[in-house]
Amino acid sequence: MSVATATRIDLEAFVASEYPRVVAAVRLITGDREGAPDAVQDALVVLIANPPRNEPANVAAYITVVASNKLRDQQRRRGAEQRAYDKLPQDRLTATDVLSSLDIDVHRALVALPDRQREICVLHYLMDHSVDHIASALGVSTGTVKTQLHRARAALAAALGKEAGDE
Amino acid sequence: MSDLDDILRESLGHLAEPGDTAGVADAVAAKAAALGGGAAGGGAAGGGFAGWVIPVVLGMVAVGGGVTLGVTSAGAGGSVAPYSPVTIWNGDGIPAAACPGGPEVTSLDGGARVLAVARSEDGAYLAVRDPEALTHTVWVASGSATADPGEDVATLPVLDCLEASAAPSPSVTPSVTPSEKPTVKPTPKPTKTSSPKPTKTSKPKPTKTPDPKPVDEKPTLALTKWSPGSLIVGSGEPGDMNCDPYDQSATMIVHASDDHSGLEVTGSANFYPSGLTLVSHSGSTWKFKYVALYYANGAPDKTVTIKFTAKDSAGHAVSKSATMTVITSWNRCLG
Repeated sequence: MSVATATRIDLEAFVASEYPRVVAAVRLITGDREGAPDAVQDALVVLIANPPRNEPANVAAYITVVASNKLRDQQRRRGAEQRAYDKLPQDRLTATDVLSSLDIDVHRALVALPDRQREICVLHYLMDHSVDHIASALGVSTGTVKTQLHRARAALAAALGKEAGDE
Repeated sequence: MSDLDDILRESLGHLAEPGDTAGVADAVAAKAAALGGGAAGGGAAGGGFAGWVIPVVLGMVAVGGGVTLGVTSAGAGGSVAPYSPVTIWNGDGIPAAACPGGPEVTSLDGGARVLAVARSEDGAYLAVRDPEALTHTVWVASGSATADPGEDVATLPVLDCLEASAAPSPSVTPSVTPSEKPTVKPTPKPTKTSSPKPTKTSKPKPTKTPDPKPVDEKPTLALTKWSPGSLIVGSGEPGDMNCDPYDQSATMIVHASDDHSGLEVTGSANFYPSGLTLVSHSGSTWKFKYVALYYANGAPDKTVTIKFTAKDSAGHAVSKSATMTVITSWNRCLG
């Protein structure tokens, strides 16, 4: 079954199964903790009201990319992209967070990556999307994704004092 | 699979802050309904409504054992229970009440497209999202609304007044409100630069006051003092030859209350941020523990600000901060 009959129930199922992770991914990609839920919801509305000509290979990846792009555009317009990240470490943590020093190091290294590399890392390592799905969501070739992922891993390995190794 | 990949997967999982799903589907559906889900139908329909359709449907797609959401364009079809888009019957200001059969608190424009979320037990009234305040629900006579083709308001849940008001609401104020509403008037439509509500020019806007909804208050939040009032962290206790890192903790009692249920209190720190945990919650009392984690040799003494926020289910929040002096004594084990 490629596309089934569609309904509000499906939307609710998507929200229940994918939305939490998508918001988490957008938060990590953009650093905008507060804006991420709105951006994801708006991306869903646009997907419903004005679907893309080509059906996304993976809607979760597609929504993540669309929402992240929107937030980054807003950040650029405000000239506050870096400020958003500067605020992130203290803003995002809640009482239930218990992070190791390694987590904090990973976060710092992730923040230091270029936007596209950070986005690909989050889509790949947090959301477990394949290179093909990431390429489809970003509208680039799989080769581009592989290259960016390779560079990101090298940068993260250097920052964390690890061997990049083979994925 | 390398060690690096394992580290990245694990750490990103720790760092991820999932979104709260409460009310999200409703918010998205409300926004989509406000947008009309596509173009309006071709003018007046025999039933007296604009004949809007939702040309977009969402479908679950099973791919490789996973579930993704498919998108396609099609005619209206399938059940959309428990939410149904309906179009208000043409007329000048259809009365809407806070409860079925209650006094009018607002009115809906004729031809307005709204989202029905519930019905009264006898089916005489529908609870619909107020298009001018999508987080609010108002009741209209069932006869004043026409469901979209393929929709059946009889499948809506039966709720009473209070239950419908408490139904999941959009978690955020929708950024899109219905700016263009379908009209069944056969006369030429006003241009987009003119008011989309031509009937309003000859009819005063019905007053929306007094608001029947109770005034919502922000939560109250009170902090006690840290116990102890300062912390020392470092590498080993004085005289401890092992020089193992050690941490110290302090507790903070927070009192919070609100007129909504579902009050949450969270906290965040601007230094040693991972050290704050919620120990217990009972009634209006939250107990937090702040552990000044051993950080690094040579770290300076620090005044840490811990911000506590109480947020109710309506999204109202209030924050207060408390500072904590953290003395780093990394070399005390040598002394």
